[in-house]
Amino acid sequence: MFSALLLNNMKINIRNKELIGWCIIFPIVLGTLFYVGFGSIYDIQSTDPIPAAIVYELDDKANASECRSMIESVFDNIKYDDGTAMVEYRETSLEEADQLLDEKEINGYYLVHGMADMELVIRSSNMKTSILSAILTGYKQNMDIMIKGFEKGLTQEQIVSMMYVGDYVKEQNLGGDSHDPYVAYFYNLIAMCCLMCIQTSLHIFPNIRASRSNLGKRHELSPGSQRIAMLAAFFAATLVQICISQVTLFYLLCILKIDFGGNTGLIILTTVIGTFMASTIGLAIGSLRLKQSVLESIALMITVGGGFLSGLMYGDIKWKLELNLPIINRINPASVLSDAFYHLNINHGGKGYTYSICYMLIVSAVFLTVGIIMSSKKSSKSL
Amino acid sequence: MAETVVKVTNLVKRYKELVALNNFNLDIKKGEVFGLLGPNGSGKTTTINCILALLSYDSGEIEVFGQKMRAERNDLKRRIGVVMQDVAVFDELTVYENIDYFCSLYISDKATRRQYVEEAIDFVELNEFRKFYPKKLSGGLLRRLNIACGIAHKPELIILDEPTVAVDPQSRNKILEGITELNRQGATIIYTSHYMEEVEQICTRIQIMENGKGIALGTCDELKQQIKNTENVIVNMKKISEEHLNGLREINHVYDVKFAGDRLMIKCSGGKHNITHVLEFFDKNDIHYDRIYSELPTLNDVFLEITGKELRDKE
Repeated sequence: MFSALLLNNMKINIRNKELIGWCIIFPIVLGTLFYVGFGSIYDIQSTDPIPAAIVYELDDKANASECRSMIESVFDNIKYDDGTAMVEYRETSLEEADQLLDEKEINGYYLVHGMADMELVIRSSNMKTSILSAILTGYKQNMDIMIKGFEKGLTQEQIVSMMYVGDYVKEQNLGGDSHDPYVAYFYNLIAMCCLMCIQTSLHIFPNIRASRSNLGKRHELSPGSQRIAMLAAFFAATLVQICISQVTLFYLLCILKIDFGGNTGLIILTTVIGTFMASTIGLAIGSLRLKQSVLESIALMITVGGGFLSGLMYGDIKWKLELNLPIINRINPASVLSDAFYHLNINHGGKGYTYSICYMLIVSAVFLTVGIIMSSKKSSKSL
Repeated sequence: MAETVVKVTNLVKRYKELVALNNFNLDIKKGEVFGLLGPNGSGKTTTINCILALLSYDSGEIEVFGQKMRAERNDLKRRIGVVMQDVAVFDELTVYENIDYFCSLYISDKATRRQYVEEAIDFVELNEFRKFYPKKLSGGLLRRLNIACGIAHKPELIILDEPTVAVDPQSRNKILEGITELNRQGATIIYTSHYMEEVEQICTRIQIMENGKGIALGTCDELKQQIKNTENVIVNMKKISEEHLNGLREINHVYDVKFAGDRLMIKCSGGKHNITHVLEFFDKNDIHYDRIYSELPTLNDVFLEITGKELRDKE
């Protein structure tokens, strides 16, 4: 019975054009847009340094030299792949900086009031000024993380690991590989692709429960086990969605040639576990005795809302949450999944990766158990 | 005496204040084609859902094949086939795959299942559509697929809940012929409908329902004998005077005369040949008419006389 149901459920999932179209096309289109959007930045990275000026108007004169050396060391470490500096900076006065900017000798200048107080002055908006702006954002964010991290008593290692993602340029990770910060968007994209399985498995219970659909009536009227029918539908949905996430991964790795920092085997394993977790979440939500529209809203909230909180649409949100409400990042499936990819890339696994994988496996086990418990036959009060 | 297949005793089902079934009783014997007839909302589908343990009920007892029916009684469910009012098939599976899917819930052996699915396809005459997806089928063909999904596993008891709703006359006839054939092959049938002609055509015994109660039970002839009306004389005519209407009312066995919309309805009791008395009255009074004919009472008349309401929905 199980094999026949599994086979037929696979056909149902594969032939669901809307589902397949949405789950394959959406991540590929979004991935392509990311690639095109970031592509111009990559192009710039392989060209000339961006001329800029630094103007020191320090409030705290006592720590002036410390501040100078700190900021210079930051700019010195912002480099292209070939090791050349990304920003060609010079220290000037305010008037000189203004003049250089007017004459278009520089793209902008940084006005430094203190170690954690810096602003950017630009006169036009283009890719180079965007990069200067992104460098400032990254610097401020890292300073913020550092200050709050020390206040909260975090170790230096913890603070440094948090700072990496906020950074703008390629740096050396702990494993010695190249780390491209924009790859975080692609991690989130894969995470979202895996989480789409929530929508697929959401429909398992309505199809086997009499109070939810006519197909459900047929299932409940049959002598066949509800659990076997549920598990067959669950594994069919999960297998199809795993294939879909592998298609997306293949597209990113082989067509767009996104550098995930090696570990392809572990990346595949992570997407499999992530998709499995998403499938169990959808299953458990679908088992709730609520209106289908309510269930769909909950699923959408977890998929899209989770994607948003993990930084898919607005990169900084995850790090703001990390500082102010870290529990959200620990329990949000999208964040945990993208964290797993992140740790895989940065640390080649490590504690963070193990935590993410364990979390996903535990969540999967809990929600699958919920699904199994809820799949017994029972007379309803109304249909 | 034939074995009882379904026995319902004093069944009560309430939805908050609404009493959907009020001490309803049923006793269906093996080999019957049992009709549950009643207007929409009379409690037919609720009865079926209670029998099948899809719905819980407040009091009463339900036995199927002599054993108490409960949701977890898979041994009893294996012997029952259900064709629901609404079509329930997967849009993504072909005709063959749909029947195979639902048959696999009953039959694990692949070879047996294949044989049963083929027989079901033959039975509903969907051979040439076996690779079609449901969306490509007409309403009638879709209903036939719905039936095939419900009966492919060769059940002993088949419950059909309004299987011909929104079906063209040709497909309806095929469905009714099929049901009669299933009965001939040994299945006991419970057939619910609000189409009295269908029930009259195929059912060996009929339970008429109204407001969750059984109001009349018997064969079609037995039900018709329970009422006063034995013949309806219908006359198509432009007009008739009140004086003549009163004259008609005085004819022996005529107990009701109504004229509306160019149609005169004369209800008679005591025999089937009252039309001759009506014709004599028309000749004698020089009354002109377009057409006159006589009809025997239908189940609608039975329902009308018992409840004072029409059975048939206005469609």
